[in-house]
Amino acid sequence: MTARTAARMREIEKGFLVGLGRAAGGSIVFALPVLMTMEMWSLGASMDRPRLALLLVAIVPLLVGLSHYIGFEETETWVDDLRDAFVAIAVGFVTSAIVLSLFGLIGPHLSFDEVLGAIVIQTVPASFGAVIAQGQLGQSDEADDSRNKQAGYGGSLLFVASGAVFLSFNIAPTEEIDFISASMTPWHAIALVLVSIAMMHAIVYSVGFEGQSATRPDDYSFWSVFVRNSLPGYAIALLVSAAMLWIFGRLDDLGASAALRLVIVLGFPAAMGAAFARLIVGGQS
Amino acid sequence: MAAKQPARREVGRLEWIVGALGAAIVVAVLGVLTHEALTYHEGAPVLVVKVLDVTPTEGGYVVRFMTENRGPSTAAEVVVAATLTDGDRVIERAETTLDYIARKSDRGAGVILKRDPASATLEIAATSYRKP
Repeated sequence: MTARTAARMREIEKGFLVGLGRAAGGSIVFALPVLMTMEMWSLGASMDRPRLALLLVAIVPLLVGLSHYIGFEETETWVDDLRDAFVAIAVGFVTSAIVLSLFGLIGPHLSFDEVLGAIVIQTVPASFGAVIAQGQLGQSDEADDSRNKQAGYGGSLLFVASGAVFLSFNIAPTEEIDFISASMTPWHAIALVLVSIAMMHAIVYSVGFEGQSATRPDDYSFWSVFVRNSLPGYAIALLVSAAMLWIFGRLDDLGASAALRLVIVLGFPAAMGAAFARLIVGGQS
Repeated sequence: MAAKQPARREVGRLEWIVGALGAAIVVAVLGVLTHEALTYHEGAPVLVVKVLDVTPTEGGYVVRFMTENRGPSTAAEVVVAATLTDGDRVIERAETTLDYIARKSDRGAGVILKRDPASATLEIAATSYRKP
């Protein structure tokens, strides 16, 4: 190996370390609300184990997709994206473990079950934050920028789903959503659905999560956006919120109508997260 | 290196190592969770209380104890009651609530009694819990 390539390698490793630092910062920023929420610690101990495993499996494709469109590093192939997703998980896992230990929330006085569960739950928002940190805090890079614009329909739906997960994850385990849904009448629920869709459409139509102004298609009309983006977006938000509630075991003891109402209540933040996905997740574009 | 060239980004060894670490974490955690899921069975929590020590203080006799959950399921809002009896007569009663005790875990807590527990029979036991 010549001196020149050795120097180049050092430069690459140094650049990666800087990226790691940024990812760790991002993961702490995004995971703090969850790190400091009591329900989240106890959930780790009491959660159904297969569902906890499913949660960990489910974030991998989401992170791969996010990494592909916004990027923790500029990525070329799906191997790069997969590696970036696992880098994000490693960063998220380690930062969560460190912060939880600093707070004295995990330690030798707890059983292995509890410690592992608590860390795994925190890893979800933390690894999200690690990927997003690049989109929000990092410099924009040309390759990802252009792909951002070419994200296409499938890509935009992925943004919607990740935005919905992002905002509903913190809220799904709280007692408050039970209280809210219990104090609502059926009329409130209907109004909430309509308002959720209307707000989602307003945000989507004005921000435009597909392609942005650069490639605004001709059929960018009110109803076209409504049918192609806003309605499917709300449907995804509801699906995400139902999945979140089920994973956290919140739907287990509920009847169908109570469960639906809970899904609609959580669907509100999920829809807002979905609509703002382009702002929160899409970063600079 | 020419800026125009759409060169494939070079990846350092460290990046592969961290990526592999992430993959290893996922596989290991999934392995542990699967093992737990397979060995898990729904059952009653087994709550055992052990007294650690009794300290006379100005505020009363502080009885510190550990509540251990040896059962397969987590218990929430575990109420532990301490009763001080002299024969059939209940002299004093105190209770405390523990937020939750995970399976195969323990939690420390205490009750404060006015009378010296050594002067009578002290009994401490978990009296109720809630499914989390």
